[in-house]
Amino acid sequence: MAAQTSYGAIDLFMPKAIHERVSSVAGSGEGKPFRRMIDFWWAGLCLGVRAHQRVPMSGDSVKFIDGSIFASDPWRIVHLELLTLATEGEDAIKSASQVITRAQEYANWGMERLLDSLAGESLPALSLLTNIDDILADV
Amino acid sequence: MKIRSVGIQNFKLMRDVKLDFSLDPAHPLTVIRAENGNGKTTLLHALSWALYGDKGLPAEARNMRLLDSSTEVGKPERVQVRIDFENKDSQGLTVRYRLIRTLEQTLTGPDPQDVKDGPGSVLLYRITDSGEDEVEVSLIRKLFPERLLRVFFTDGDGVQAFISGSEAAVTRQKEVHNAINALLGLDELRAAAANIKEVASSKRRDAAAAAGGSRKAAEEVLAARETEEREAGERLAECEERLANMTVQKSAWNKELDELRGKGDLDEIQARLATVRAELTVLDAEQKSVLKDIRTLFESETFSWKAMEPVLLQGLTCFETLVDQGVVPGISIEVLRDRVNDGVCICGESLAEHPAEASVRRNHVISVIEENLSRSLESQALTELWHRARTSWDNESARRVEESPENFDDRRQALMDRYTGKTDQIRAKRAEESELDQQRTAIDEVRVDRLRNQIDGVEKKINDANSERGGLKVYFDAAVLARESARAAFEKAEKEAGKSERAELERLIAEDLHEVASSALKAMETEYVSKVAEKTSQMFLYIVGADPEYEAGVFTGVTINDNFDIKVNSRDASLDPAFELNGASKRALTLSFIWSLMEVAGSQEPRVIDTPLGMIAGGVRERMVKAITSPNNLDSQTVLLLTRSEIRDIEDLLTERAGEYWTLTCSKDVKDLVHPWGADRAEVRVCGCTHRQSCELCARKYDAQHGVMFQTRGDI
Repeated sequence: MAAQTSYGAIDLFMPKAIHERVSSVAGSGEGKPFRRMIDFWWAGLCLGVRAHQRVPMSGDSVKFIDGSIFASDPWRIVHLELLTLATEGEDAIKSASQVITRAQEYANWGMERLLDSLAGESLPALSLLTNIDDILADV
Repeated sequence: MKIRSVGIQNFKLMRDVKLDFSLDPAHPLTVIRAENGNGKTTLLHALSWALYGDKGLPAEARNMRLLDSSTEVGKPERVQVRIDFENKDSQGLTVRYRLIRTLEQTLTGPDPQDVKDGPGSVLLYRITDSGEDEVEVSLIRKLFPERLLRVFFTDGDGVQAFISGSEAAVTRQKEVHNAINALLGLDELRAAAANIKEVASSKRRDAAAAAGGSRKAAEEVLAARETEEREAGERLAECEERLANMTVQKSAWNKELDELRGKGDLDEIQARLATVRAELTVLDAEQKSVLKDIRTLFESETFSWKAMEPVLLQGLTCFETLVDQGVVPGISIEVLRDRVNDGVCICGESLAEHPAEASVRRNHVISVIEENLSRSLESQALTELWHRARTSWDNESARRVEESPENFDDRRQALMDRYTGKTDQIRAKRAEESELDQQRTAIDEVRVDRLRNQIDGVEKKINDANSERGGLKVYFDAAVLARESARAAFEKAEKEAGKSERAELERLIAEDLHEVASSALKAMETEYVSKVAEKTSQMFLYIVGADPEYEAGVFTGVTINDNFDIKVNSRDASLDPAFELNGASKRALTLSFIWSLMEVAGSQEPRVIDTPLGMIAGGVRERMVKAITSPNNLDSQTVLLLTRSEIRDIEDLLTERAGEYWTLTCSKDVKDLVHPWGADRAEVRVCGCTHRQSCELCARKYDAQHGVMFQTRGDI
């Protein structure tokens, strides 16, 4: 339960290899399931958490936004801290940096799975909508 | 008269086709088998072109190319049709002839009218044992009267239209009258009667001249009035014939336009296409809107709950443990402050300053707030998080109740339904668009425009001709009255002037002869018509399988009245063939009339009919073929151009009646031919296969359905 304002000062990163592929699923353009990179990153986080799988940041990474994005969706911080509390314990949520680091590791794992499962789809948004149950069940 | 053989070069797709026709009196039928688009109509047109020139072609085909459209533009090609035929002379001896019509044509562009005619010739030879002697071409007009073109060379539709054309009764009467006059030789008798009338007039003038001045003057006036009446009558007749021809032409163009429009009115299709495309634009936008909503769903809190629910709930459980341990206050300071300010506790009891019980509770709550405020900032933050987390879960729980299906699964299902629905609608619209597009493509816009212009033009001319006819009729009626008046004056002058005995005698003889000739003409017409009607009736009833004695039968006979109108009689009334007979009965009636007329006239001309059985099936088909191919005393010749479908079920009858068989095949039918044969340009070729056979040239994939057997032919 770090102060909410402390999240605004933290940059969010994703591995460069993933960042190079992200335009196929996020951004403007019909058929992409995610409007912004943060939405894609969050979906990756969800998958990683669901699978209890994390990939620590290593090698080149790219900052795609800073934590001020959370101000527009305060529930995201609540969820981040809840999952940190559940997985890391009470002390872990005292540090926003630690919360985000953990979240990025979950997201790293999930984003790669998402990109793989949506590769080659002409309408990834429709594909993800149709198959989300299977994707969540398989992880 | 019989056609012995025909040779065709460069006429449409027939680059080099030769056919022999049956001359066997016991087997008078020649069967020429060809599928649609494989040369039947081309053969019919080639024969009638050779005999009648451009007049032998349908009105809409005149002044168009005879060459195949793939002929090299700018390169002159020679079109030639040769017909060998034989005829019995007045002594009953067979004389053989060869007719050769040749025309050089050069294509100048892609349209049918883009053609330039070069030198042409028509030559007729009499063939003897010692060679060929050229004879007058005019003999052809006597042997094959032009008026009977549609009788000798026709097709199924033409057969039907002969009696039931869209112009109905007037045209029908004219056709029947023409056919009777031409075949029975009544035209010659009519011409003789006219000549005698001229002689009578001349004698009357002579008699008048002999009788003296006033009578002569009266005769001159009468002669002048008669001339005026005749000329007025001729102009009126010419105008009426022109009007009738234009009406027939307009009808043909209208029919063609209707056929084109049958594929869909162009303007209507364009409008419907525009509407469908506008609807597609809306549907596309709605489908994109669904995709946007999908993105919204994946950035929502409910998606986060859907994906991470087990872990998030585990986090909430951790919190509850912390609350139980007192690490996290069970109630938020902010909530407690709100309660104190409102004066009502969470449990519903009063927190007012009075009475004393309420004041005790109020003070307790205030002490709890102060106790919490004394804790660390971290603890306060933990408390706030606990409350926000519970609120988040409460909200998600609220989304999952049935009355408010805003949770991820329900929204997901709704989006999938919407997208599928839009996709189905778009697919249906695309199919509609494609169908309309195909309809639009199928319509020959240029031809439609041209036909519209032609119809507009001929309608104007018809209106003009109608006005002209009105004026001519008034003029003609006035001329008749003037002539009658002049005749009365002449007869009066004649009485007064006395008579020249000899001149008067000659006049009387000439006028008597004219009377005799006119009466004979009328009597012959009446007698012949009666005979033709009787035979037509017998043949028609046989073909349609009617029994006049059968009480519940429909047809009882056929009559031809004084106006040359054919009527089919039923038990209680007469039927109009144009509107009250089905297609098969119309064809049966026409063929019965033609065959009966030719039998009464003793005509031996060959009859070539293209696709006569198209609308006819069952017993009517068999009886019709029996009737028109029956060997008879006239030794006539019948040529039937038939598709495989028409041949079906009458194979044995054709075998019995036919003396010659040919099959025409066009190279363009590559999808149907078993052995497609190469040709740089589409071409029609001929083989000697009967209606039961096929070979490398003509075998089709569906031959087995028609009982046709394949055989290798060495002569292909």
